[in-house]
Amino acid sequence: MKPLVSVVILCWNRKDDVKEGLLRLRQQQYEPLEIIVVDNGSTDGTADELRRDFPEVKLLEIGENIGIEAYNRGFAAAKGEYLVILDDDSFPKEDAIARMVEKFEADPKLGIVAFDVRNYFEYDQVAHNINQNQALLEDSVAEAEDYWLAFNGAGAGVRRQVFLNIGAYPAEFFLYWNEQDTAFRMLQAGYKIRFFRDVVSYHKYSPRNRESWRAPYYYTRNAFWLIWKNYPTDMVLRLTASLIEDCFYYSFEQKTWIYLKALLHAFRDMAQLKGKRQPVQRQIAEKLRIPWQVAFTFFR
Amino acid sequence: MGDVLIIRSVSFQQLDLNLPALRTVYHGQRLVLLTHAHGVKLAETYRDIAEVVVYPSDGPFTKAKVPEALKDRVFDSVVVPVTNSSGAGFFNVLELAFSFNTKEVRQCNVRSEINLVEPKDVKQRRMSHALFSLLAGMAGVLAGIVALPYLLWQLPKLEKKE
Repeated sequence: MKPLVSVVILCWNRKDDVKEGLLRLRQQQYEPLEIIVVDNGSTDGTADELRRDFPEVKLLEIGENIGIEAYNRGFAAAKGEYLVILDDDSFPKEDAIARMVEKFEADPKLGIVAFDVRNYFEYDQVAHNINQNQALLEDSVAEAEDYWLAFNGAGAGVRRQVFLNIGAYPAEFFLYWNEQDTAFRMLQAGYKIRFFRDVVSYHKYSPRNRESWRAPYYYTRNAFWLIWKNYPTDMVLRLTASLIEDCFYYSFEQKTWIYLKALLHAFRDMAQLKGKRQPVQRQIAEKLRIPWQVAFTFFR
Repeated sequence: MGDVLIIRSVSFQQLDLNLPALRTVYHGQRLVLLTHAHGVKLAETYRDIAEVVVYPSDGPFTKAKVPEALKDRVFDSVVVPVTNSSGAGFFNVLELAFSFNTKEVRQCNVRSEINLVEPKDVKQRRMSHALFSLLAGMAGVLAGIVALPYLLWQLPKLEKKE
């Protein structure tokens, strides 16, 4: 009997994208699947259309936008041994979940299967068909010798119980850097995170989606919180000082207040982290690669 | 026609989006991709990338860490993909691009617009970078004098109690 896999999707006002994703999930080669959509207070008719067109989907309606905390409601409602985490504009390749389960079953210490999240609009046109290329299927782990990676929330598989035990997603972050925060806790719990190039998820990454104040604000604020929650004290001070300087530098470069606003709010709202600071082992703090500069690349 | 070097300064998702435009502009030329170590296996899936070179650090791209394999190479063009419209936040990658032996440097933005970067523009940006670095350093020290002791005081209150 194959293990149940629960797919959890968070959506907010992207009904056409989430419906396309659900149609694609019907083409998945793996079963049994449980599909949960958590609606974060959409106002575009998402809930009504999902109820009408996708009766197989378990729909959780939050009623308001509570950010990534809504994912946690979906994770708690799931029954599967494994979870697949998707965005409302991403979906796995038809063989991805089957491959994901194989990876988990082969390695009990594998905590997260990080999908290779690629561009929905172009990936198949620019890449080889992995299934027809034995060389690409073999040795499919994408990793570095001397550093570790987190994962992309537009396509990831996790062991459900382990994930819940470590606290799932950090609700206080609202948006962004949640994967990195989770990665710290997963590694601290003794589990591995691995990227596989033969486990693919398609994501509708496009210029339209990138123009928003939310990304620079939340990436910057949450960068501070990521540091304060997870790093040993000496590294907290060093990284915080460096990030403060970066906030000023990029404010001057991009002529914006958004980074300084995020910095101030990080300190102002620090109480939201009360009881959540758990410094990880030094090796994890030093090896988990966090591309801090990403926070400063979305503004203009 | 010589080789074209693409520095993978954006996610693979964006590079997937940019590659068709790059393929058109550099039709018939050999594309070489510089990426961090973890990106090699993912880059190997591309049909049009002839060669993948590993960047010798897990940190941000910097002209202080030019890969040995590229030091003596000559390129027709070096491309810097950026995740926004203007290239703001990618000055370090631009500096690395200009440190290679190349006829030109181009920037490819999130809309796949591929534009020449003039040396005079980089000169201007270097001056701005120096000024902003100085000001940010000073502001950072002043802010840090207040922020870091406060943070040190607050951290124990944030600790998870077993």
